[in-house]
Amino acid sequence: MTAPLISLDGVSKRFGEVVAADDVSLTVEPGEFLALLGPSGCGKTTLLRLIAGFDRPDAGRIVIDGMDVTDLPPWQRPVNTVFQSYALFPHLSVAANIAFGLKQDRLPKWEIELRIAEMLALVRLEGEARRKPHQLSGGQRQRVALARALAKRPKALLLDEPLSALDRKLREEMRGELAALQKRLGIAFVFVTHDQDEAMSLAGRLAVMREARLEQEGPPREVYERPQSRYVADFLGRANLIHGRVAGREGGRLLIESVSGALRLRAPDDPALADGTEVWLAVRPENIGLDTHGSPNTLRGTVREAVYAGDVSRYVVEIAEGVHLRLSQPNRAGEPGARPAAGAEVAIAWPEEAGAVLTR
Amino acid sequence: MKRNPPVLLAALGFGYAFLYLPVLLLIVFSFNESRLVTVWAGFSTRWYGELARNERILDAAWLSLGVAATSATLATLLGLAGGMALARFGRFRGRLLLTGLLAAPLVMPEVLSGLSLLLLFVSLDQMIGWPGERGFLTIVIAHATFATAYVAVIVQARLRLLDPALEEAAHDLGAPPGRAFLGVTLPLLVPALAAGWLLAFTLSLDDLVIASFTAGPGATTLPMVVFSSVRLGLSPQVNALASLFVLAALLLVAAALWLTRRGASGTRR
Repeated sequence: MTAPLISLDGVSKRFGEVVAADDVSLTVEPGEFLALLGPSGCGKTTLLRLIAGFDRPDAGRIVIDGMDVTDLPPWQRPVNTVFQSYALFPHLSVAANIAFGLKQDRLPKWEIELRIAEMLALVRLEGEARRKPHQLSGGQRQRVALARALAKRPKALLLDEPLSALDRKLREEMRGELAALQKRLGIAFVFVTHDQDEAMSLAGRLAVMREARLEQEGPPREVYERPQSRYVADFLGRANLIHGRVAGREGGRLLIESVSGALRLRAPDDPALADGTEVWLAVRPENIGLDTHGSPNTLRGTVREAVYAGDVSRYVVEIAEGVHLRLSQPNRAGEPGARPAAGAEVAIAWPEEAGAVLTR
Repeated sequence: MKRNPPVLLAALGFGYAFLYLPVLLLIVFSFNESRLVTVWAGFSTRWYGELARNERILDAAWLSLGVAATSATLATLLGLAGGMALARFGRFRGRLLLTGLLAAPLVMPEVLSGLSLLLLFVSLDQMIGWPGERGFLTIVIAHATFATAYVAVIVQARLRLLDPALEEAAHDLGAPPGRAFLGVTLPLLVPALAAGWLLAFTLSLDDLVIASFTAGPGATTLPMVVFSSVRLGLSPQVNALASLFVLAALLLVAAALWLTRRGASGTRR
């Protein structure tokens, strides 16, 4: 196990009354793509700014590449940032923007020229070296910002919602480019976003933030399939949450009784949970099927809403008084499948292992 | 396209005539052959020639230009500092007071400014023996004082439009505050500074009241010469001089406008 590239140890930061980071500990491994994910105002950008050095933490230490940088200003830290607004220097050409950081290091002229050419090739902007930022398209500006930050060969690249200013199509294109770039360079990327699709498809590891705290971290699949809290379950994708308590065990499965007592559901066992513990069973809409196959978690209910949404159809099914479940079914051509309308009586079911038992 | 009603066009025409007819008349009469200012006697550039030989007016012109250039430069430096403080330091104690104090010269009656500066110079001279006889230096200080307000307002407006991430980007790329300021902020402020300098220059060149209070016996600015010659009886030379001034002011204002416009590109979206 190698030492982490960046480690935040108990970092806190407040702005007046607002707590932006509350005792956050987080590590970034060399070469990994970490996404800091959370709704706006959760403190993810603050965390990035603390790593970059634009803000100083009130408490805690920040170590980058074995060096305690907590008290170092941004210009002495071996990381570079891609800003949400790109912050390209409007009075400088593309080449001069890229050269700005290299000149601060007083590199010899030939090396600066070499790096500019290298960076322009990297982001495929060879023909635009003499242009000014305002003459470039949004996607090109984004790539100049990347080239400028990468030119100094940072230990880690910090990206603050870099794709949010682009339109949808371009954003998806840039996503692919970013992922490819990161793989090729092998530099650690710390990527701040509120877009869960972006985070899931790009990152090797997610760190979900909530109200200035780190809520859960792990590979995207783990965080998505094994959320540890209702917050994460519902923030990443959608989740049905059934409120209940542990009613016992049966055949190696946990039995959960809904609050009203109307439902008894089976879920993966967790030995830490004692009988009677208050829990929420989280089930993702895509894991609930309309064909039951005799699965133990079979429920009967009434379709309250049925929406055809192209790739999937979405339903809301009332399974007990006031308990509604959302489910989605893929719409594949040539598959007749049941397409119940609102008001229809249906049986729904999900595999036991698809449920996640949450205590908070 | 919608046609504008004739009434509005007439109103517009009247408005412009009211503003610019006197100036136009002045320029026309500066090419008058006659010695009498108000009687047309044929086209001539004679008064421009006489103007060029009038030592008193030329001396005053050079003094005015010197005062304007020096005070504009001083005001630009002070205004830059004030504007930076107002735009960048966020909330600090006395911010509102500083904002108000900086803007006050914009609305203060000139007579008051002039009088207060005169009192200041006189009592300073009595107390510490400086600035001595009033003249070039005192006019420069006086003009810089009120022009600083204009420059600060322009600089502040420009800084507000700049993306604060630009300076952070410079820091991020390894530039400490000094180099970030010189490499990024200052170049982006150049249009605002140039516009501010030109405005300060024009204001100084134009000022009669404050200069009258703060000038000494040895220093007479151009507006003071013009004003006194009007009282003694108008010479067509004054028309010629005024026409040149109109031309110069026009050019400077146009330059200031152009610089401000050009500076508008590269601001945050």
